[in-house]
Amino acid sequence: MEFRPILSTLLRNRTGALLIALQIALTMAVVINSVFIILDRAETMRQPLGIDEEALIVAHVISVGGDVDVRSVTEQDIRVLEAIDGVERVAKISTMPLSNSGSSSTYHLSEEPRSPTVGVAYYEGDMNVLETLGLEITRGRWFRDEEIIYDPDEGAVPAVTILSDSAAKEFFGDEDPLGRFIYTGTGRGIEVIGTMRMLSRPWYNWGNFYDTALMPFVEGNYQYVIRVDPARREALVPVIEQALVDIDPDRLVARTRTHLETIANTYARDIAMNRMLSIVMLLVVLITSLGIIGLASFSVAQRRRQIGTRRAIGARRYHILRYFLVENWLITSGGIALGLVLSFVVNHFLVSEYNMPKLDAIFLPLVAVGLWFIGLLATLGPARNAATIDPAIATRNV
Amino acid sequence: MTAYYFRLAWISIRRNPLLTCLMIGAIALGIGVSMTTLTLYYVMSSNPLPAKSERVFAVQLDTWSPDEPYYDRDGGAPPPLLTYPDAMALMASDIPTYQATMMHRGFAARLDTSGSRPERIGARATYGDFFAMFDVPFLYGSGWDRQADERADRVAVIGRETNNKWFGGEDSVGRTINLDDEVFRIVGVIDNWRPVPKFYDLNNGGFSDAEQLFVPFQVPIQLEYQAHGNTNCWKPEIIESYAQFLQSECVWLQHWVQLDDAEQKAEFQSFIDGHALEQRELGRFQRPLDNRLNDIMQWLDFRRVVSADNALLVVLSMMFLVICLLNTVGLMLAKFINRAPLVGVRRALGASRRDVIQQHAVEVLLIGVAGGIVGLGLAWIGLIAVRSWYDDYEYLARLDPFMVLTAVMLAIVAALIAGLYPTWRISHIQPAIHLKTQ
Repeated sequence: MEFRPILSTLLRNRTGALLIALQIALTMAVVINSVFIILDRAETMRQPLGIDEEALIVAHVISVGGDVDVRSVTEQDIRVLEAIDGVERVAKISTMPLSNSGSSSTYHLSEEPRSPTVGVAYYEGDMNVLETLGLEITRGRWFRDEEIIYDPDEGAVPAVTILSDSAAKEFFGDEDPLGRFIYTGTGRGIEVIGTMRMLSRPWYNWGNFYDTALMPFVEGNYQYVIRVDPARREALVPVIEQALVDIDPDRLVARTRTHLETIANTYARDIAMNRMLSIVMLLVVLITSLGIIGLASFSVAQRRRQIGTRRAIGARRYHILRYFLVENWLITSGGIALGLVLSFVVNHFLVSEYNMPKLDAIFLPLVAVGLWFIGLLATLGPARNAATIDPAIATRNV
Repeated sequence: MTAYYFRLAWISIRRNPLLTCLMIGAIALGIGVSMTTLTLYYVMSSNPLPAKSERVFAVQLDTWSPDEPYYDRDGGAPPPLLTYPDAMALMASDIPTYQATMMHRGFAARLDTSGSRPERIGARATYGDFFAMFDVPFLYGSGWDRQADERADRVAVIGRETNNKWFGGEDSVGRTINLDDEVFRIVGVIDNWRPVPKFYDLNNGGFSDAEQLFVPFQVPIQLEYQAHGNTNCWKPEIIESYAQFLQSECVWLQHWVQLDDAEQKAEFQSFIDGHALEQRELGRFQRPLDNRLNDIMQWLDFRRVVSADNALLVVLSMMFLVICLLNTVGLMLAKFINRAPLVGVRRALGASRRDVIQQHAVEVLLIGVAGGIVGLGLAWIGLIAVRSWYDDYEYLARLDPFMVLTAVMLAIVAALIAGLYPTWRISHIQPAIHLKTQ
C-alpha cells in the first residue's frame, strides 16, 4: 500500500484535510449526542402503562349546580354508554395514567407520624375499573361492591386499597402485603386487600413511575373511561359524546377523546424534541457528505496532471481509485479520533448544564463505522472520476 | 471599482453554479437551523411586561416543612405558592401600590339556562388590582373595585374572543352570563392580551394563553372550590371540611405585588418578614427566615421557564452552524485556489493585494447575503413545523423584525468569517509560479 506518499501529500496540503477532519469530528459529536438523547426519550415513551390504552376513550362530565345522587347518575351514564354498539365496559375514575393531572400522597408504615413514608400516586374509581383498564390482580382480591363509596365526605379516608406490585415492594419489601395497613399522616390506616401487576402514574417526570394505589371512592366530577373495540376507537368518540349530552343537556360534557391522543399530548414535547434532533442530525450528515464530495472533486481537479502522469507511467485505474479512497479514509479516521474526544466533551457539558443523560460508550463504534461508510461513499464519485482521467492529459498543456 | 467587483463576483458565481449553490446552501442550512432554535429560545426568554417588570414582584413565603426545603436546589428555596391565611394577611397590607392573590379554576359557562349548552371555560379568580398591576388593556368597561372584592360580587371580566363568541363583539358591559348556575354581570371586556410567557401562573402551562374570564377571588372561595393546578401540602393535618382546607398549610395561591421604589420594596419586605415572625410565635414558619420578592425576570429564571431542551437545541444548532461554516471555508478555498492562475495574471498586471482582497470579499459578501435570505426562508419553514408540533407554541415560534435582522447579520458575519482564510490565501499567492505554468 502507498500510505507514506498519501500521508506526505496530505501533510503538504493540510488545510483541506483539516477542514474535512474537523467537520467529521463535529458531526460525530452532534450525531452521537443527538442519537443518545433520541433513544433515551424513545425509551421513556415506550414504558408500558399497565393498561390497554389503545382500547380506551375518556370523557369528562360535570353536573352544573344542584345536588345530584352520584351513584344513580353514574350508574345511569354507564348503562347508556355500555348499550352503545362497540363499547365493552365503562368505569368512573379520578384520573388516568399519563393524563398529566392527578394526586399523590405519602403514606406511613405505621401510625407513628415519624415512621418511614412512601410516595404513591393514587387513583379513585368504581368496581368497573379492573375490567375497563385491563388491570391484572397478582395477589389478594379486587374491591367488593359494598366497599365502593360514592360521594365520600370531605377528608374521608378509604378503608381498603389495592397497591401496584411496585408500591407494595416499596412499603413491605418481600413480605406479604395482604392484610397489612398503610397510614395517612394523621395516623389512619388503610388495609391492603390486593396487589396489581402494573399501573403507571398520571405523570412521568417525577417519582417512581409505577408506585401507585387504587382507592374505592367515586366523586361526581370524575371522568368516564370507556373500553371499546380498538378498530372503531376514533369513530366512537363523537357517538359517546353525543350520548352523554343526550342524557342531560344541562351537564358539561368536555374533552372526550381517545386515551392515545391524551398520551401523545403528554409526550408532545419529547416527540417534538426527537423530531428536531433527527432533522438536525440528518442535515449534519448531508452537509458533511456534500462537503466531502466538494473537496474531493476539487482535489481531483487540482491533480489532474499528476494523475495523468501516474497513469502514463503505469498506474492502473484501481490504483488511482484506491489512492483517493485511502486518502479519504485517513482523513475520516483522524476526524473520528478527534470526534471521540469531542463527543465526550460535549456530553459532559450537556450533563452538567442541562441534566442530560450520560453518554453510553456502546454508540461510539456504531457511529464511527457509519461515518467511515459515509466518507467512503462520498469519495467514491470523485475518485471514480479521477480514475477515468486520460493518461494523455499528462503530455498536454492546460 | 465596487461595481466592477460585483460584476467579477457575478461572473465567478455563474461560472461554478453547483459550487456556489453548495456554499449558499451550506450557509442557508446553518442559518435556518440555528435561527429556528434561537427564535424559540429568544421568545421563551422574553419579558412579558417590559414597562414595569422590575416593579412587579412574585411573593414567596417559606411556610414549608421544618424537615426539608420545598426546593432542594441552591441550598433550599421557599415554595412558589402561598397558603390561604398568608395570602389574606398580605392582602390586608396597604404598602404595595397594587396587590393581587389569584388562582386558576374552570367554570361551566353559558349565556343563559334556556337552551344553550354549558361549555368549560378557564377562569382566573383574583383581585381587582390584577388589571392595573399587569397593564391589562380594556376594550370596554374596566375591572372591579375593592368593594366587589370584599363582597365577592358576582361580576366578571371577559376576553375579547369570548366577547366575540357570546356577544358578537358588541360592548357587553352590563350584560350577564351564567357560570356554574349563577348569574354574573359583565363589567369589562379585555382587548387582545397575551403575555408571553404567562408569568403570573407558571403552574398551569408557562406558555398557555391568558384566561378569557376573570372573577373576584372570593367567589370560588365562597363556592368552596379548590384551584386547578398544583396544591401542595407537607403537614399531616386532618382536613375534613373546606374551612379546614383553607386554614391548612397547603400552598396553592399565586401572589403578586407592585412596589414602585426601593423604599416601598424594603418596607414590604419587612412587613412580610414581620408577618412570618409573628406566625412563628404561633408555631408556623419554622424554617430559617427566607421570604422573597422576585421581580418578573427573576421569577421566570427561578421557575426555569426556558427548558433545558431549548438550551440544548441552541447548543447543537450552533455546532451545526460551525460545521456548515467549515464546509463553506473548504468549498471557498477550493474555488479561490482554482482561480490562482487568473489572480496571478491580475497581480502581474498591477493589481495590488488589497484589490484582490476587495474583489474576493465582494464575492464572499454576495454569498453571505444570499445564504442569509435563503436561511431566513428555511427558519420560517422550521418555525411553522415547530408550531405544529407543540400545541402551546402557536404565538411563541414567530420571527419578528429583530430576529430577521439577526439572521441576515449572522449570515453575513458567518460568510465573512468563512471567507477570511480563503481570501487571505488567494491574496498571498506568488504571481510568478502561476504565470510560469500558463
